Amino acid sequence: MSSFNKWLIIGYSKMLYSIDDQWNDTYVIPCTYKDSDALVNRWKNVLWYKAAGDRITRTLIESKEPMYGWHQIDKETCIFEMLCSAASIDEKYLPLDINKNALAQMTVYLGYITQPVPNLSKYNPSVEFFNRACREIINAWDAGTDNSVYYSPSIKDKFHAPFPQEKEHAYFLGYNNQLNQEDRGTEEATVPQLDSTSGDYWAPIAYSRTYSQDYRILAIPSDVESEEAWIKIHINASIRYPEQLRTSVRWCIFSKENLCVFGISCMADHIADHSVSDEVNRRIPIFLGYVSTDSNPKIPDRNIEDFRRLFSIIQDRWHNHTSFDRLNSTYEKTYFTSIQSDNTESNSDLNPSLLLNSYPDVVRVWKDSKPNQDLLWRLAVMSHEYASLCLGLFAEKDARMGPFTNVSLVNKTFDNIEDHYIENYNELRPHSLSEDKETALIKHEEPLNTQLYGLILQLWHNLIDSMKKDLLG
Amino acid sequence: MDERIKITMLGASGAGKTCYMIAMYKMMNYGIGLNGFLLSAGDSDDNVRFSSLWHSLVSKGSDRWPLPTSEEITQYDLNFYYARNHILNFDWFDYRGGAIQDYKDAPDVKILRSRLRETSCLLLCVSGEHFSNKLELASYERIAVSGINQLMSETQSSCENNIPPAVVIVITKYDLCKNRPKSEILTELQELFPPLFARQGRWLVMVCPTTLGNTLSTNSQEGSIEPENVHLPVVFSLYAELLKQNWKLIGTRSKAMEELQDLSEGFLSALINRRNINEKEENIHMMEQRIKQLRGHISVMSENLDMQRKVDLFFNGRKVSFNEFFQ
Repeated sequence: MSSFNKWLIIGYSKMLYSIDDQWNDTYVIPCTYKDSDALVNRWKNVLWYKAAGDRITRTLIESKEPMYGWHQIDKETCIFEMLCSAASIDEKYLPLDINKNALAQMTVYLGYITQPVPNLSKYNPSVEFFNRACREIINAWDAGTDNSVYYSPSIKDKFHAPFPQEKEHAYFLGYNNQLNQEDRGTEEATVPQLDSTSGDYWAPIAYSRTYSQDYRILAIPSDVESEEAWIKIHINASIRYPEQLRTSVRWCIFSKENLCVFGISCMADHIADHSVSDEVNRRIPIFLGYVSTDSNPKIPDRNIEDFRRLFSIIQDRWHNHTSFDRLNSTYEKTYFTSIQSDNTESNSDLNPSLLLNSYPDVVRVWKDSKPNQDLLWRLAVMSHEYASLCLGLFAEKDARMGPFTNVSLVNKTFDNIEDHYIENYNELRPHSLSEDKETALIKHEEPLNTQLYGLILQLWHNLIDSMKKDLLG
Repeated sequence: MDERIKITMLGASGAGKTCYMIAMYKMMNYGIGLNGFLLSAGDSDDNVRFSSLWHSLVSKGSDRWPLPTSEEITQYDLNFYYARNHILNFDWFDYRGGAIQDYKDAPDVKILRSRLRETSCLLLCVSGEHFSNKLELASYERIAVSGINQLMSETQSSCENNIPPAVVIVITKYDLCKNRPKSEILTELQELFPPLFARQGRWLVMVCPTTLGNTLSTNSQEGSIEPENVHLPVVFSLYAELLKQNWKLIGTRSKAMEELQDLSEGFLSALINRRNINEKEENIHMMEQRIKQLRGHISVMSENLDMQRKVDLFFNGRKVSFNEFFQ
């Protein structure tokens, strides 16, 4: 785990409203970090806008399109920049001209300065990418009087790049991607052709009770708030029969189109390393995890240490003593950042589609054991289908009632391989996950071995075919 | 009995619903059960789970109490016996107390509301800690009074003929308020839940104090687990359900007897409707058998509840005895 990527907003333009005829400069400089002054000074020294001069400005005015670029100003510092007209930021700046020059022709320079140099292949500069910086320019204009310096405040809004929201929290939001020289590109490549949807970007997610308030999502990125219900269905299933979490933890992975979550369910004090209980002195179960909106993100290996830091995000909320007020359930907004995957184990011998069930209407059940847990996690990590996995649920009923398509069970004896169907009499099963279909439980003996997989698969298909015939016939 | 009986427990977070459920199950699951009443879980995994939770409870220490219930509702399928004879099966829902005060679009709140419409009996858990001294206004919120009363009103208006389900007010952790006269606590309960005690409200309400152990009030970590009265709310719930079935059956039988009388009037009519008459007679006979059986069960339960003299029964806001009500 290395240091966090610092991302700070920068900007430069003329004052929007000039009291006198002197068109003062407006600088947007960050105040988030103590060392930002040094960064800003370095930035000013290499200000692309100034260096580019009139030629670029003219080109911009003629084309009316924003220009993007990135600039590596030293070994560890990089600038993402956009040069545009004021009207590109907001149309309302187009006609403003009180006997002055046409503001549409006023150029604006803005962007982000970041340390260390990130993996440039993860970014695709666009108007959306610079949206956050644009808003700070507007704020600077609105705030501007005779003060030409505007300090950008803490960044709390939605942003798809790893922005710090609070300086204390910034370091908890993720880990920097280890970058090799090839990934960095070269300084000549001033307008990189990049794909922002690829990569392994994750944002923290936390769910638990607090000291006095009932269960709720405590931290989530804004981008996935609309998926809260779907996420909660899985989280709740992963903390079923929470007493078992006193002595063990559960890991889970669940995904659907452009959304993938992995995390751990355990006792809060297990992860916080200090006593955590509610107002009636009960220990508290918690889910901590990461969510990605990438299409096929790389899921790291299970490491409880990676989750300890996440607890810090919600620590302040823990002792929120406001009782019985559901309206106070504001989230801690989290942001996407890259996670270094340590999962280097070779998986060439495994075929997840052969082993993991991705049909939402059936549950594949495995005996919970260390080798099975390791294998299932590797399979789920590799899987390109929407197979979900929860390791260490208690009983068959928990598997049947929950949304997970693959489950390892603690309270089950697997003497022989056998297959059977269970009537899906389950009025509590979430409708979005299963409706009036049967749930099949396929049991596996331990240890798993590849010779059995073919047999199991055959049985599996036979069962599905037979079920279809029954339903159709 | 084809239709499954549903029992639902309401109560604020921390009221002791899960503790009560564990103690109730285990005490009625031991040997021949409590006073001959016995429970068993339909799913053996549930039995293992209850046993594990019970084991934690009886083990002393800070970790003995169950953890807060999650947003996911758990359903238990339980079988009820008397003197080893199977009487009926029922479903028991366990859910988080916070659902009472949550938004109605929360998934478990939706299920809870829908469940209340078809429930046979409501167990309303109120912690005895609120009655250890004169009830304070702050306790209203902690008991979730407004949420509970709201749900009660909705339940009654959605019930057939506005006849609400039976209710047991379970005073959990009674050891915390046993110093106070019971009459004072009853008065305060009537102030808390006025709809349940309204004169023409048609609510049948039993108030039942329960405790997991009288020494827990002084030492919750080391006190002994010696549950009291935990079986009575379940017995009453099923008593009320059987009573309802009995009345319904009596009504059906009366109607069938009238129809039989019409068919049998006159020699010619009796001759023509001979087959119908035989069928009706057979049906009436079966109904009488069932009524007899139900009355036997009801009588046993009624006696047991009355004998305990630890519970109070109210109907239409008036205190009644079990025998009086049964008659």
